Parts: sequence; C-alpha cells; structure tokens
Amino acid sequence: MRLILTAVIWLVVLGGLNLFTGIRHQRATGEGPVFAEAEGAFTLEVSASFGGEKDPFALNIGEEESHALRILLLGEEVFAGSEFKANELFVIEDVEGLIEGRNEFFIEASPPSGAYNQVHALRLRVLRDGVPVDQYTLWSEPGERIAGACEIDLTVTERDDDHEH
Amino acid sequence: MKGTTNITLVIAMLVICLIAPVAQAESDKALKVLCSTTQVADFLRQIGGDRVEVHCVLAPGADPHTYQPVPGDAKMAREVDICFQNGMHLEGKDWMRTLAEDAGKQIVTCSDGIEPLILDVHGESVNDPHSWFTPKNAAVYINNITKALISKDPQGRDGYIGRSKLYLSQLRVLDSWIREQLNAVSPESRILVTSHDAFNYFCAEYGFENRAPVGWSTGSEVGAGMTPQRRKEVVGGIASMGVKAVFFETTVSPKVIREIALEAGVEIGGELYSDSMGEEGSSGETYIGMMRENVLTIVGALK
Repeated sequence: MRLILTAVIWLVVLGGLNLFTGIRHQRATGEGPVFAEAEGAFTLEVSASFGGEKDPFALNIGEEESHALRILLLGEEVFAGSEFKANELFVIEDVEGLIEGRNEFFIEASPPSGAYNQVHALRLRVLRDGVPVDQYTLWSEPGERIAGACEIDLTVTERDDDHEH
Repeated sequence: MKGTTNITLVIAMLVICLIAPVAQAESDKALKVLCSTTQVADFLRQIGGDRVEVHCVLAPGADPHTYQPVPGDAKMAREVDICFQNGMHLEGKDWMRTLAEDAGKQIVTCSDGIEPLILDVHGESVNDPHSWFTPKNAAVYINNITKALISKDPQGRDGYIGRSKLYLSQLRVLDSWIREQLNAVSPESRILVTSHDAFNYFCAEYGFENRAPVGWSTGSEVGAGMTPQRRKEVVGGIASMGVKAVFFETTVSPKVIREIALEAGVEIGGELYSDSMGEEGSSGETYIGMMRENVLTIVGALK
C-alpha cells in the first residue's frame, strides 16, 4: 500500500512538473503581436565612400556567396552585393517588409582591406512614395568594417532629421 | 506480484529522473577532434566553442617539422571523430596524415585554398608551409575548419557560423593593427633575420625581406636545415643591409642566432613565436596573442 502511495505521489509531482514546463514552453513559443505592413512603396538610396570588392575576411563556406555590402530589415535580407562604386549613389527599389511602427535596418559593409588607415562611411536614405522618411550615416574605425543598426519609425513620417552615428 | 510491479515502477521513475540530466550534459560535446599544431588547435577552439573537445598532438614549443608521433597519439587519433592538420608538409614526413589514416579517420588540411609561396631550393620548388603568418591566410584556415565542422556536426551549424564571423572580424582588426604598428619601421629597416625560414608569408604581406640561416624546415627535407653557404649569406647580409637586430624563435635552438649576432655585431631583438604558440597562460597562447607579441617585438627592435 505504501509503495502504491509513493508511486502516486511521484506521478503527481512529475505530472505537475511536466504540466508546468509544458505551459511555460507554450507561452514562450506563442505567437507574438502581429504588426501591420506599412503602406506605400519604399526605396533605399545608398552611397559609400568605398567600392565593393572581394573581402578576404568574409565567411565563405560554399553555402552562400559573400558580399561587400549586406542590408537586413528585421532579420530578412533586402540587399546583398559587391558591385557598387565609391561615392556613387545606388537605389534599391520596392523594399518589402517594413511595418507600421519601429523598423530596424542592419547594415554590414567591408571596405577594401588595404585601406587600413582610412575611415569609411556609408549613407542610407529611406524614401516612402518618393518622399524621404529618414537617413543615417554609418562610420567605420580606420581599416575596420562598417556595422550598425538604423531605426526607422514609420509612425512619425513627417520628420526628416539627419542622424549621425 | 503486485508489490513487485510497484517497486519496479518506482525504481524506473527514479532512474529516468537521475539519467535525464546526465544525458543532457553528455550531449554538450558533440565532437572530439585531434589537431596537429597549436595554431590549428586554437582555431578549432575559437570556432568549436564548448561544442567541440579539442586535442592537440604538439605541445606548446614543440617543432612540427621534426616531431615523431608516440603510441598515445595513435590512441587519441582512434578516439576522435575527425583530424585536422596544417598541411603543405609542415608536419614532417606527413606524420599527422599517417596518424589519421592509420586510425581510419577523416583528415582536414586547413591550408587548402591558400596560394602557396614557392621556395626555390637548389633548383627544386618547395611550397612554404608557414602560411598562417598572415591574418588573411588565417581566414582561409577558419573557413576550412568551419566547413568541416558543419559537415561533421550539422546541428551545431548556427554556432559555428556565428563564432566564425566574430573571429574573422577579429582577424580583420588584427591585420589593420599590424599594418599600423609596422608603419613605425622604415622600409629600409624592414629586414627580418630569424632562426629558420618561417616568416616568408608575413614578410611578403607587410613589405619585409627575410633572411634565415636554417631553411624552410628544421628537419631533413629538401632545402631544410642549415648549410655553411646559407649561414655565410645571412652574416654578409646583416652587414651589407644594415640590419638592426636578429630574432630567436620559440621552436628553434637560439645557439645559431646568438653566434650570428656576435659575429655580425648586431643585437638580439627578442624571441618570436614561430611554428608553435606559447605555453598556457602566456601572452602567445592564442593565435591573435602570438601575432600581436611578434609584431610588438619586431617593431620594438627595428624601429
């Protein structure tokens, strides 16, 4: 009888623990809030103080080609390429994935490795239906990569400040 | 009968509760690897993180050209999942390849894809195996190691890629930093005299000339070792080129360099990490630390 009681207690304890962890996991993996897609046609204008070229320090493991410039929006790649020239503006049209509210672009770019003592810069301008929404300039330390996040708030579209980072 | 069933049930539950955390802990190390040199082992630790158990055949300070494997190495090769070597015959008589093949294990050559510097030794061409001496070449090692780890342990892919990206960024910074530091050494003073011919990649990348009394290997291969002619050329070169200092290497006896310094009347500039990194706890125990200390020693003596 004692043994049956012990087994029942164990079952209750383990069952309760299992139920608790299950509920906690369900909460953790539950769907987050749903954001409305921002209306309008979005364009990015990019200009850099350096041209794109093969990066000897890129991760190149055969799965995907490495690029001198990558732009991510909320974790999704919106641009990856190496064919751009120094001080020339290039345009990325029909950018999808922006939401109403706060958006974040992540930019990583690799200036030529020989230019070890030069500071480099990259400018990003976001346009909604041809109207500038926001713009950022990212700077590198001498010889290092440019890497940084640019936050664009689409709930306040009338501002057109020039942020320096 | 009923009592026995209950006891069995309780014991089974207790055993499951006890085993579960142990099984979880054991799965933390997904791979066991064996490396030939300390440089390769450091790269594996940087990319593998806590997921990979790294073993290295050579101890810090040991010479890969002349190393003779011992029975313990063969035993270790049998116990690991995969082996890594530098390649280009740095491991004298290909001892690491032999260890891996005898144990039936895959061997990854980390220098694959690097354009080798060709040394002309008595009319014969030899690939210089000391290719890790530039951060750009070290990036090739990292890519080869990352590829091999992902192929052997696909579940660890995200971690391997994340660590690789961080380490490649550090190599880029190291390269810039080396160029900035070496800027203090005038182009006329950029002559590196070391114990053996290990610094050709470094010298080619950063605008130095290299002179060494001992050839590309301290072993007995073609073009290896010291000849009276080579020694004479080095001593003559020190005088004619106005060399400020000469350097020992951590894996080679300092005797010859000391004699040459006395003969040519130049200072000893210090000790450079060459075919092996430093002891645990020393500033040269990692690749980046080794390169940093070498550059500081060179700049301090030659500027």
